Amino acid sequence: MQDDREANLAMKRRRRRAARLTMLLALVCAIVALALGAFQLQAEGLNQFLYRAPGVGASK
Amino acid sequence: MITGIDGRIDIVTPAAGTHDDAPPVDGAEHVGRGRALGAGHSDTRLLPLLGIWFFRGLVVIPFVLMTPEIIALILGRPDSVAHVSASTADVLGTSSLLLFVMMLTVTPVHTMTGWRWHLVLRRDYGVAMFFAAGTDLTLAALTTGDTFPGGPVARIAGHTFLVFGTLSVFLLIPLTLTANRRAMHWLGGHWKSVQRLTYLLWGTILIHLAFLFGLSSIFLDAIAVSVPLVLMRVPPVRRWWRTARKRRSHHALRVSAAVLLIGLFAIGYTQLVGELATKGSAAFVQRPPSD
Repeated sequence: MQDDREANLAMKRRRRRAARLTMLLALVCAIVALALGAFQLQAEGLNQFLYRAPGVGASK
Repeated sequence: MITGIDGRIDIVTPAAGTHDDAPPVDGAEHVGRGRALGAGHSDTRLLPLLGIWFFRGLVVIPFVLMTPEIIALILGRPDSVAHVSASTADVLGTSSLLLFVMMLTVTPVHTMTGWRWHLVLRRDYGVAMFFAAGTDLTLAALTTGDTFPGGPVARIAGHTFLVFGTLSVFLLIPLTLTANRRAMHWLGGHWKSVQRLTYLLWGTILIHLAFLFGLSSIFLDAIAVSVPLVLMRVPPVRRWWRTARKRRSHHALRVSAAVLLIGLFAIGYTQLVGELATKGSAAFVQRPPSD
């Protein structure tokens, strides 16, 4: 009985850790994408970063 | 108890603070002869099987449409870089959006009809979207130097719309990595919380399209398909629909609502499919629009 409860708690802890790890990966992915954007914003300036000429990025 | 990405039902310890509100996990989901129709279970009925393979087959379309241009690029043919540069966003970008929409449609279809045979498609479309969007990002980084001077980073993050497109692809990484049965057991009841990143992804995709198209064309189509999909996910709506379906009540109201929602969805969806058909066929014969 005691062993079952401990095993259950250990499993819950492991799953919580796994969820944290996955969310951390998602956070890192988001930060990398936003950091690339911030780097380009600094390099090109706001106008260039915001302005999209017709046909750029998609043909419409 | 959670319904897996492939429609199978798993019993796992729920995560603290989460509740099981996602699709269809009631044991009362029976079809016809009283046999539970778990999509992942060995189901020998021909029609659902054909349906699954038909809808699965659709995921190869974007790759087939881009194959001639990619082969030409690999072979170093003249103008191949310009062709891929002109086609990749139109074909693979639109395809990624369509695959995302089809993935999001799986749950509302279940809520409306009670079908389970198609639940397996949720994972297939999600994974296919990752590959389509990943290929789009890779090809954009390699070939769009004509429109985005300044190297690969400028080509994937040099504008507001590019940043949100890249962010969307990057958010697909944890979602795709956890889109399997092993990850479901590894995460237990937390799996659903992780998969809710899909809603964040939905937001970043709409922002990407808003920056790219403004209040016109594809952005409005994406809003048109999103509205019914969001409405069918609102918990009171979903609960009401499921209960009414099981009790066989409010038939006229359900039919009217379904016609309205499907109609609005179809308006946006057909436009997106039309866009892919036009640009995709042009890419397939290596005559993209900018030629």
